[in-house]
Amino acid sequence: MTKLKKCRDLLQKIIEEIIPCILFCVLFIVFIVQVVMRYVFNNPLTWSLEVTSICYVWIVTLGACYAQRLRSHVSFTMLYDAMPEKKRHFLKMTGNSLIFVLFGLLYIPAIKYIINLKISKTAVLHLPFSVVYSPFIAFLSLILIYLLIEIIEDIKLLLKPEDKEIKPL
Amino acid sequence: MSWPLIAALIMFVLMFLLRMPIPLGMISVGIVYFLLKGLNPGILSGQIMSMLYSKYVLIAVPLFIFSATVMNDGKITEYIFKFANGLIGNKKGALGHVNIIASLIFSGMTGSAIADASGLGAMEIDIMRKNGYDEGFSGAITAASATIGPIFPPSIPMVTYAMLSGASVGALFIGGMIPGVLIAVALMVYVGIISRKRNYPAGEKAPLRDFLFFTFKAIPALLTPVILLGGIYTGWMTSTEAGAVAGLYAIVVSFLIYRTLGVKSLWKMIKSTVRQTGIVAMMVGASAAISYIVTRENVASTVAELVLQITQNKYVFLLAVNISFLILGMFINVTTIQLVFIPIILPLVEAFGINLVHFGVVIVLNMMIGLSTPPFGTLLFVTSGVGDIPLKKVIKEIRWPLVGMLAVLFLITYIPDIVMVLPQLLN
Repeated sequence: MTKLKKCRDLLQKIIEEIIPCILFCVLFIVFIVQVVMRYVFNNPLTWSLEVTSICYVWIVTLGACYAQRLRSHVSFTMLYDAMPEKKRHFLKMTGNSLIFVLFGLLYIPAIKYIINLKISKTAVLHLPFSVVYSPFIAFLSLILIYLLIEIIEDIKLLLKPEDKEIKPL
Repeated sequence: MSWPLIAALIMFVLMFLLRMPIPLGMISVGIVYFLLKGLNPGILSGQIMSMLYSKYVLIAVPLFIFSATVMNDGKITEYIFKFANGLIGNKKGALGHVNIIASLIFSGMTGSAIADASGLGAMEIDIMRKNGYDEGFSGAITAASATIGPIFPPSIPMVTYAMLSGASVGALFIGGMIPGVLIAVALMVYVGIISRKRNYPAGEKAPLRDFLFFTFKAIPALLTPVILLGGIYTGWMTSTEAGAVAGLYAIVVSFLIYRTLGVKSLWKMIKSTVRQTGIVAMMVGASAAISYIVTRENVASTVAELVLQITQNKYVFLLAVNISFLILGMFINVTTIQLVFIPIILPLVEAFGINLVHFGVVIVLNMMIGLSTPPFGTLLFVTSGVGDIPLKKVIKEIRWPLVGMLAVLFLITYIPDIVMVLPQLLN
């Protein structure tokens, strides 16, 4: 069990932290090189636009998974905050379940669509768009997992019997 | 109105009511629409990804987030504060003024109001409390001055607006400078009046030697906006490249000059950048779902016809837009408002012949004011949180700063030259 957990943690770390962080470094360095090449060596790069755009797409998509794991996506909490605790769990669970079902419906069509993009290629590097857009599949998979975890958490909290407060005599 | 559109609208409302993470909610709205319309929902994933892939200008967002994260270090903010302190000297209510000036300087390095209020703000509130200022006042002035962050360049909301409208990022940045300074002046007038009324303490005039020392220490930080805007305006760099150069500059300065940065902390900052980028930019990607619906259902032209039936007057239109955005800004996150509503009203802005740069600066200032408008303005919560001040007290004191900011909003809405003079001069 602990081995499985370690494996999962490592995978999470690689997909959500290490890959996008390295890509951010690449993006950053390519920009600097691009400016230097243009002004110092008078030799503008042709491939930099594409490389940075691809890095960006990957950073955003994987970073969004990271943000979902840390539960730091923006949401509208006014109604939620105004509710008693039990109702909050119910509200959040309903919302998450709705997204879960809809994302579930998107899952297979999205994979098929992205795989089909292998015929169209980027202009300079001739990379198939199925590769460029592939993190979206990781995004859908991870979001589904995280949503499920949150839904189960909320159900558990909902089913937990009311803590009866024992009044001190 | 078609059935799929109605269902999508219901889903859109549910996204808010059921506390869904906004980017996931927006994608869900799209899925509902695609399914009911009988379209292949797989296309939606292509729409979202190509929105991210093709909007080159948005790559500036992670770069600005990164340089702000590096610069938002305790030691650097302290130098900025001390420098501002030396500038103000022994005026009455000095710390209130210092709070504003430091925010103005800080906003030249970051594009985010929340970063300003939580980093620099926490320190300012602490010092103000020790010197006998009311906590409500300290919190309110910190929240209000943080508003300057995204008005004065660089600015992430302006980059998003540029992506939506096609207006030049450079022109928007430079157009925000005078309004940013005007907000600072308005707030300083307020601080001046209140300080006399409540007899807030005067500052201490720093000895010239100390002042020179702090100026010297603050200079590298002060140069960030100069490099950024200089790079863009001389045509040397695109705004996105300028973001990268500013990031590099931030690394060099904090590594070599301030010595606040190590390899380990750098990795942590990159991680935080990735997370923040995921939050902001995924919203942009997800908004592709909404804009697909808006385009397919001709929402923009329907709204345009409706508005043009009611009024043909540009000034009435601007007033109506300002009021509706202020109300929206009280409840909904800034990026969400921008992504959903700007594309809908943009055709009208063009029909009325309003300059896109002017409109952009007005709308960004408007939304930033929303951040400090009670009862739900995010900045109020942030300052009350970091300063450990009861929210009620901050809300009570924010009234007059709000009036000042609204006055500036009114001014720049109806006198476009205030915004446009610098961009026109530099073109």
